[in-house]
Amino acid sequence: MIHEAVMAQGSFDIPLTVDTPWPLLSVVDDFGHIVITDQWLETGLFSDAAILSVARYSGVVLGVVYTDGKAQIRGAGMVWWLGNESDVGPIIEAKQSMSGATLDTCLTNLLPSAITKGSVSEPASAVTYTGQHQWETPLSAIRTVSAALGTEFRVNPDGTLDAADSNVLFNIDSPTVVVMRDGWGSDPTYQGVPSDLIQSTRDARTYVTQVILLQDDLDGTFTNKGSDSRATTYKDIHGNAMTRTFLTVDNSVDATAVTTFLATELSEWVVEDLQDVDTSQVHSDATFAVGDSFYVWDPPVMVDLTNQITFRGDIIHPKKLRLLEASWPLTDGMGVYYRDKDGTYTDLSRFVAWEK
Amino acid sequence: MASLTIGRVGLDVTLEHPYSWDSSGRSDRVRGYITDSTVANRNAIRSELVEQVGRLVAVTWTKDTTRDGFYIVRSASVRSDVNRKSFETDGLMEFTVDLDRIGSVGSVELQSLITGTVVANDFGVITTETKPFHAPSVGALTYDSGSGAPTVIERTTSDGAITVFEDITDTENPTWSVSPSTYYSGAAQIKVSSLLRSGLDAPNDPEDFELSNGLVRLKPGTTASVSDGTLEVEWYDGSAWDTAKVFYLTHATVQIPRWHYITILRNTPEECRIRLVRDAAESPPTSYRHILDISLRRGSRFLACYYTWTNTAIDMQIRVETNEASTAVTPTGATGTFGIRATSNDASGNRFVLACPKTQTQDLTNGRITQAATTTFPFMIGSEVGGSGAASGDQAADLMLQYLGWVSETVRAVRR
Repeated sequence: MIHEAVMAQGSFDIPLTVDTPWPLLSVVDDFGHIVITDQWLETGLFSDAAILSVARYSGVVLGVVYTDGKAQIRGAGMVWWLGNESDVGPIIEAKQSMSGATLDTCLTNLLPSAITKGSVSEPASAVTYTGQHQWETPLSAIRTVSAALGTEFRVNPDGTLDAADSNVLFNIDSPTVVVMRDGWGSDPTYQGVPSDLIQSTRDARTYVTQVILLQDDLDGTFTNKGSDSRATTYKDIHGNAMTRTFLTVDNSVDATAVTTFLATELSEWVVEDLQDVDTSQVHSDATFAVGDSFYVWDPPVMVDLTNQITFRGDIIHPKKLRLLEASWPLTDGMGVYYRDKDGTYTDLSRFVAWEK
Repeated sequence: MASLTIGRVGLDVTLEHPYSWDSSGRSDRVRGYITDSTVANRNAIRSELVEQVGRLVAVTWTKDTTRDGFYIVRSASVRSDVNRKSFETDGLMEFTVDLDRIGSVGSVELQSLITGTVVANDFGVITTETKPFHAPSVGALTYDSGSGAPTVIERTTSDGAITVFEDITDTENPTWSVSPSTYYSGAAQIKVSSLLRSGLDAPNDPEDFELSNGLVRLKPGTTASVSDGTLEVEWYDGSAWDTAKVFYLTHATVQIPRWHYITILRNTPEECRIRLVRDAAESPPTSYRHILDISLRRGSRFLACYYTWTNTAIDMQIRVETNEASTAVTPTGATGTFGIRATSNDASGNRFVLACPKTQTQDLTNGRITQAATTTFPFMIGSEVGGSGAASGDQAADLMLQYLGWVSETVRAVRR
């Protein structure tokens, strides 16, 4: 099973069959890579660059588990090379100070050698970044820059990083996939996908009316660098307007970036509308990937009257969701390879215990 | 001889009484034989029984009317074997259907889950100017529209009088009641190869299909028993089906000559939808296709159509086959005309209506609407039944605003 998430490392778990030859397994080493293609390729016919350019996924091997003679190769996605959620990784040791820097310049200064710059587009807002980073992982630093500039990033299977506004990096504005319980099927414009589960959860626990950014003055005091708030119609039991504040302490945010930073933070502390959609149909490919938007139609909950599309002759008003995380199985027909540190491929496809 | 209906199965081809009906709690198991003398009919019933799995159905049984009610089909199986001569004339097929009983008409009412808003249009018509409508089954009573105050339109279908509620509040979910025996009266329905279909699976027979709701009936035009691409549409005038009026589509001024495939996209009593598909050419075939989706709702006097061309943009047109002088129609709220109607009553006393929500060119001399340089073409085909004397709610402007007030409906059975 492969788990992907936007701007996060995700994970993979490759189960192998019990008859996998040991010489094959012994080749798999930590910090090598697993590369997966949608259809099997004869890797001997292609260059390393060519294989990675068509790969659907690659990840770094972080361990092998043996259970009753069967092996499972485990690891994380390529974002791992930027650092992990425990702030372990290639630490930025030399202070990187940037003033009015473009996104491209920021990435040049912050990326480790393991991940190189791919396609970078400056934000449409033309905002630049001022801040400094030291003693943190590139993942943490790049996330801070992204929040300040309102951009997102994606690490590709070939180890390059693309960064831009989300609607440039991903298909946000014109989804091509419609998920529905009944009535799915083909359509000239949209790909209909049947759902096994459509679950909508509204969670108000993360709602705040204000975000405050503090600077730690390192003497026991804090300086208020700014705040952002929203009007609310919610009230407490006495009829007072509800107030809930999220405090964040971050010394790396420059004064010129505070407004954008706070706006981004406030936009994340909302009543969360979480959707969990399970499908049996494997459809993620170049036209639909993690980070893209898709439509879900399941009235009366999954309805948004501001969206109107014609799907299979019916005018529907689906909800538009963003695919932030996805788990997908390894299915027969895919190519699964181990790529060692020198770029040599070992084909594991015949010995994968396909999951569907 | 007792008769049994499970959903639409048994409505056209008789389903004989079951040899057993087991009830346990709210679960019923019905076993019987499909005995129709014709192999094709037995095959059809077999297909239609299994197609209803998972669906809400009305069930009636003349031998024990206490079993009449609304159910969910949990499973359906049909056994065909040589011992019963299942594939020979006068043979049998054995069926078993498991039903989850929701209740009888006394304990259950129907709730229509409604979602709707104005169809995107180039004529400035907004939601409050449209006329979204909803119709329960023929014979329905105790209609509760919620907070709205819809206008009542009475229409007569081939199954009887149906009440259409116009200007419904499309954020409300009306409830209504009807006996299981009339649940399918006035319903939208599909026939393929002359047999009533219950689900989505049907043979490919673009020369023999019917999309109908008792008010409008669509059949394919044929020449020498082959689809000729035309659409023959009849309207029920209250006592009989009127002579069909023929329409066809043109693509870059060339008439669509034939449909290759028919697919059922939706098959529920509240709405049915079919898809007609043809290759751009046959010899040699191409990598482009024409796709026409046609939708018909219960209680509607028009067909809602959506045509797609998978190649580059081109002019598309809907027209009446025999030229008829037409008059442009501008409904209240529209910034311009987006439809036409026949200027004079035809021989059946009706006036056809064509409309399109997109910028268009109208040929009023011949009765045509063209959308230029496009790959998609939404339009509707309707009729003022009664022509110049059509009642309020059935006039061209009304039909056009009903079309723009698109409503998606799903029916549930709920405890009263």
